Amino acid sequence: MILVVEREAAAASRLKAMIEFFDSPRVVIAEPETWRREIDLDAASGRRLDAVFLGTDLEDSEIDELLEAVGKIDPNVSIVLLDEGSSS
Amino acid sequence: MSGTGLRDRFPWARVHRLASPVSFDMLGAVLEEIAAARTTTRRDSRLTESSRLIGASADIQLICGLIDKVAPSPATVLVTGESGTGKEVIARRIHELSGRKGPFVAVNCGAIPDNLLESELFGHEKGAFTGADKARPGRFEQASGGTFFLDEIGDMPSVMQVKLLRVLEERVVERVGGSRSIPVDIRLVAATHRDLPARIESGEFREDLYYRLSVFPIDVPPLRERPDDVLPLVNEFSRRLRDAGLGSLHFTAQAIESLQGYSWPGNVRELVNLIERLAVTKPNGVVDRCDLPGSISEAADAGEDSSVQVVDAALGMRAGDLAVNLPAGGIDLKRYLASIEKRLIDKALLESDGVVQHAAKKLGMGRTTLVEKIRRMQEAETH
Repeated sequence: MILVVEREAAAASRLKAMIEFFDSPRVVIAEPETWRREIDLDAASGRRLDAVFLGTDLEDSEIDELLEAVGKIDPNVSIVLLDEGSSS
Repeated sequence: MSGTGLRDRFPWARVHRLASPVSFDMLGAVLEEIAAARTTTRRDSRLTESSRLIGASADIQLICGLIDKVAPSPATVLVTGESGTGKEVIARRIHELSGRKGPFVAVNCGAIPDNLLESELFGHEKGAFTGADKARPGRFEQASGGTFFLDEIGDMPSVMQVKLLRVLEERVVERVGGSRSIPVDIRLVAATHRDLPARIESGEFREDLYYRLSVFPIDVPPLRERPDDVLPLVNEFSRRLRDAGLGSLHFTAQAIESLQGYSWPGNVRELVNLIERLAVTKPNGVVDRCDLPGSISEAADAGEDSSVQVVDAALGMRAGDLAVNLPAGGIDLKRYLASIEKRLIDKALLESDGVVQHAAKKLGMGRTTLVEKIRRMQEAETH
């Protein structure tokens, strides 16, 4: 599963559509307040978390909380930070 | 969002940055990196994503006892056994019971091209090579405080063996293009399906590294040598399948008998694959012997034991030695010969790590002939 955590619904949907274009695993959108539920649901159903895309509007504390939780599930999960105006 | 200092707070995290608004090109490149990372760190089926060792055999009980003993110590562990026997499950279990707070980081040495392995393990500094536009910690650093699982250590190139030896002796790493020695607090668990002493003999593996790794060796016997484990494994994987909402499977006693009599050249991984396949072909159904692939269902056919004797005797038979027994009920010679052929091909492929060219050489036939035989066998199994 690829998790997209983003407050702005339109931006999240656009990113989801783009990721799905690449024949990716299942993409799930969540807000910073609901991602934990999505991760738990997916883990319960036996699916693996492949990557988490973090939107541009997340606070550092929210990112820290999410990375701590993801690290406990599987430290091999990729984290993708969306940055306005920068690139990898 | 800044994500400032993320590397310092979460050294294990594999972080990518993507400019927003997102372009298709950049997104595609990142998704490719993610997919590559997943193949180098995880290969197992969702059904095997557990650190629980399953089995009722004396071998598995012995291994569980060894894990309990070694887990709390800092000793390096070397897990050996055929492919698919669950070496990573053992490594995860050791990590879980170790009390170490850091992450479990797994790297498959055999899945990473030689020229990328050093950067993957040791990381690199900015500008170390073309494309290294930022510094990146390696897997050793990411595993600091936790357990580092090096799978397929027998496939590690000689140059990297020297570097690994230094890490084990001095507990420091140096990134590619860097000169700083970075301390790493790791517990190492290595695994291989190779015969390391034989590789030492042939000069492919360093003897000093072998002794550093095999402080606490654990050998996992192949599944064919512990048929008592087949039923607990089938039950457990069927339960996980059901819990994951992927269907419910029930096996008849005859089907279980066949599964227990089969040689499982691919070990537990082959059993898991079979169960996943059956969940698709027999959703929520009862699996009988006839639902199993031919190679497995034949294993418990009437006269199977005799057939194995015939096969084994035939394989060991020298000119003039006709000491083979024909079962009282007779045999279907065509099926037995096909069974012998399949077993030999499976064995040759296993010993050649799936390299068809090498397997063909072992079998004294051309590569294309072997490919065609494998294709026909796979067709026969799916029908």
